[in-house]
Amino acid sequence: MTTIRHPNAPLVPPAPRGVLTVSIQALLVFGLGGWLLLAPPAEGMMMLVPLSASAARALPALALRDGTLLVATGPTSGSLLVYGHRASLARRLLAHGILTLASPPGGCSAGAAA
Amino acid sequence: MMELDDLRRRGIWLIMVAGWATNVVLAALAIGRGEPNGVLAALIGCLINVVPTICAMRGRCDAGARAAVALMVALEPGLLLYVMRGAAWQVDMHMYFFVGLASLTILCDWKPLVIASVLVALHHLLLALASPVWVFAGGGGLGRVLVHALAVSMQCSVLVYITTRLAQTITAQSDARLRSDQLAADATAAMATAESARARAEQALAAATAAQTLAADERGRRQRAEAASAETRRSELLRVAGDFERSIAGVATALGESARSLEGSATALNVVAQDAGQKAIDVTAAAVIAADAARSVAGGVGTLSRSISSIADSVSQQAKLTDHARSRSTLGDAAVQALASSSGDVGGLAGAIATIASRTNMLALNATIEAARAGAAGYGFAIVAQEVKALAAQAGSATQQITSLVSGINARASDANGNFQQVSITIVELADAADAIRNEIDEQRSATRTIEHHADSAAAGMIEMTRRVEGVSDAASMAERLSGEVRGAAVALLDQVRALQGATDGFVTMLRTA
Repeated sequence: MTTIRHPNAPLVPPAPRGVLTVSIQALLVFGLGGWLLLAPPAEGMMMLVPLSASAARALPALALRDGTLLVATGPTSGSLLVYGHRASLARRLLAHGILTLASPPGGCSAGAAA
Repeated sequence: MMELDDLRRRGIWLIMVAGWATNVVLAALAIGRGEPNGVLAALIGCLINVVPTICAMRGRCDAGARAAVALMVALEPGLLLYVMRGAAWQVDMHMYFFVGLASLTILCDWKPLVIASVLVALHHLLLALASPVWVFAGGGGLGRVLVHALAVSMQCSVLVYITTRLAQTITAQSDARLRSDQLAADATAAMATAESARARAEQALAAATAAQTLAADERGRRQRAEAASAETRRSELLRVAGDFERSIAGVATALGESARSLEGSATALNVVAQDAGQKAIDVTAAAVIAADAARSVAGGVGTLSRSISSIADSVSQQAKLTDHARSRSTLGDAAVQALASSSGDVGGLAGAIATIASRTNMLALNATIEAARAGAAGYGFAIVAQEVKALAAQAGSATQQITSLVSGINARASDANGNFQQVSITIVELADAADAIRNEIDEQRSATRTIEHHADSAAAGMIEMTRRVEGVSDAASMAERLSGEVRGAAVALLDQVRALQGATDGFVTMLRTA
């Protein structure tokens, strides 16, 4: 099949503008989506993820202060699920190589099969 | 491609509007359910719809814009899931992933579909590998995730096939429309041309009708004019016949007289031409004889020139011999003068010998006297003295003879010297005469060369004159032939004049009876 180019059709597609557009959009989608998924609440269930072995060893002593309650072990090795205040946990634990994330949200179902 | 791009622009618009509607629903659900981060989720939904909105406002439909829309479509159902956390209907929100994928079909591009499908399938798969609890509360296993991913990929495959065929169909339809537009433009141009041709044909038909009317009017007018002029022409013909008869008859008579005169002149010219041709032949013969004579003269002069050259060579040889004789005569004169001088010397010696003979005779006389005094003893001595006296006498006689011979030699040497001088004078005169002869011969040689040149020129002139006289003879022959032809033409002209007179009479009669 012969394709006839329309007289008003652009000769060269705007590749650089398209790349910029999709880059910005990808940054927004992945950044904001990840942040919404992983950002801890101001108060509630949180998951503490150590980034090293020494941090894993120090995690219980560092986390369980100021009324923070241990709920369960986390889904990854060395992680813990706690209930507490983000303000008192996040800054103190980050200095010791421990991330404060939202608790596993139950993802795509709240106990029901998808 | 314009149709495809228009469809994509409209698709981006629709998806963008649907995204904003979803955000409104998100906000309503968040407020209604009291979800702590629900408003934040709605705000994120608004933020990820900004880029597609800008693209839609600017009318963009390029690959970057389509990919941005696909990313937004992949995340919007996730936001619904987030807002509906803990609700029994949360799982039903998964259906909007498939709604979003289906909505991307309107973009007629397989790439947004693949991007959204991969994003939907992969985030489950990666989270299932990293932390299954994040995917399904209490963990659902990798099997459920793979089943969901398979469903997404199957829908993606079907939608990719549909969008590809749809894009091809739209492209083909666009090409067909362009061809159709071109054909329509060609047809319009052809119709305009046909209309123009029809208008010209109608104009031509009207012009032809008007021309026919004009021709009919002109024909009637011409018939009336012809009828009116017929009578006038008849009277005019009668008058013209009279004038024609008079003028033609006069011309024919004059022409007849001229033809007869011309015949006579041609006959005379023929006789003159024949005489000129005969004379030219005679002149040609005389010129040939003169040319032969001139060539003979040139040959004789050449022979004379060669003889003069031979004489000049002999004179030059004579001059050389004269010079040689002059030098020999000079040498002989010198030899004779030397002989005269030598004979003088011999005369001097002869005088000395005579003196000696005289003194010898005196001594012989004294000896005789002394021998007489000596008596008998001196007798023998007297005999010797007598013999010496006789020898002295013989010496004196011989001396006289020598003197006489020397005188004779001197006299002959003087004669020879005079003769040699005469010979020298004669040789000089002979050399002068030889020079004069040589000069004369040079002049004769120059004169003979001039005569030979003129004789050759005369011969060449005779030949040229012969050729020209032959041309004159040919011209005379041509004149003779032409005069004959002129005479024949004059006779024919005379006949034609007679025929003209007869035709004139008939023509005038016809005019008068017309």
